[in-house]
Amino acid sequence: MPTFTINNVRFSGLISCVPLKKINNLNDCSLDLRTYREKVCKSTGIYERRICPEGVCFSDLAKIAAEKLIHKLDWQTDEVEALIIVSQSPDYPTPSTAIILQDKLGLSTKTIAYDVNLGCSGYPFGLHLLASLVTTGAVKKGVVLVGDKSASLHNPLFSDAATATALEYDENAPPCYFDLNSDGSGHKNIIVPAGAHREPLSFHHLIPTIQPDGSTKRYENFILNGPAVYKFAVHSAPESIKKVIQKSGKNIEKVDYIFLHQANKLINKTIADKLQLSETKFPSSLREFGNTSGASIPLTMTTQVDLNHKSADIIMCGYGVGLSWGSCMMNINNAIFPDLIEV
Amino acid sequence: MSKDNLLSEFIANLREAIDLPEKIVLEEITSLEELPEWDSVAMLGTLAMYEMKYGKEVSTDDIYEAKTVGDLYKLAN
Repeated sequence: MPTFTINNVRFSGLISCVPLKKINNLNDCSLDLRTYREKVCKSTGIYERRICPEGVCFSDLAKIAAEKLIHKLDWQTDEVEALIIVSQSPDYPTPSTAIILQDKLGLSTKTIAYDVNLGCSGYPFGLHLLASLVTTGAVKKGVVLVGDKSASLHNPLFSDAATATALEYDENAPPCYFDLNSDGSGHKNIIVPAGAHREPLSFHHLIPTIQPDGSTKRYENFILNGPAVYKFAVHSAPESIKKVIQKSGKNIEKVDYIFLHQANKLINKTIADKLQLSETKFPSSLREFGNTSGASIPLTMTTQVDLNHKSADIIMCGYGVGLSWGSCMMNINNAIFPDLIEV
Repeated sequence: MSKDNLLSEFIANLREAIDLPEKIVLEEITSLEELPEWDSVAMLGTLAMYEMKYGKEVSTDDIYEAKTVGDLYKLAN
């Protein structure tokens, strides 16, 4: 899809919710891993992460975020006509988690509700989908819930978070510019290979195999080709950002903030260098919150800068699993950004 | 700059990119396979070094195929 403009959509508010429970990447690991972890922390910029307690799902965080946002906006629950979830952490393989939350949030049964399976790139895609429903006025108010539950003790990158964003129909709203892309030829670079129809989960996935050096290796249920993702990100993200800037006719120097997906310090530094912009334009939440998947852009917007009731020209650029990447540029004006919820 | 100077500058850049402890010696003939620090994090740092210090777009396949520090040096030229 070419770069395009959506009108009549107001960004009304954004809130983030994270678990209270923290993991320290250097301290919460076996002693023989510590040297390696120091190197990973230095390279990625990730020192602390958040993890859901046993039994808490992404949708539990998302529900709390949505309730609080709807309340703070003074919206009535029956005014919310669309509820979209962008996540890879559903409650069940089926049905869609958004439909379950329609009920739990007490929204009308007339609500449009469904899930979108996107990860790190998800925020601009989620905004676009909801904005597309709102732009005609058919849907007056909608909420998009973005995030994932992907933290674990053994992987030092991922962290749990949920975010809720509210959009509403407003003929006086400034235009939003989007650039959205997909490249499935890279789908094996970030993949959970087993557990669905192509490779159903079976007994052999649970048995560790003995390696030639005598060590045992568990089946890798998550594959991330770091160098390939680096190459992809540092080429695709700057191009996408340039496209929305060009479409808006504005000067990139005049943009207040560029919120990049928070995957890795090195990747984002390279993107900033390629755009020849100061790193201060690129707020980061990597140190405290790690890679929170699709939630990383909105979580950074709510925790690293103060946008509450302010006016700011911002760009949000996500990239990752798919491979999928895209950007959204908009003017945030007098939207609410309530404090981070920690549960 | 002579080849020797360019090579030693490259090795200094590479050391910084992969955050190599000082006690480890890096030479043109050093085998990457035998370097425990040569992992995916190091490869990522190396790719960033080619981009930012040499303005070179090196593919991940080229990095995987490199056997020695000398092979990595050739990719910078």
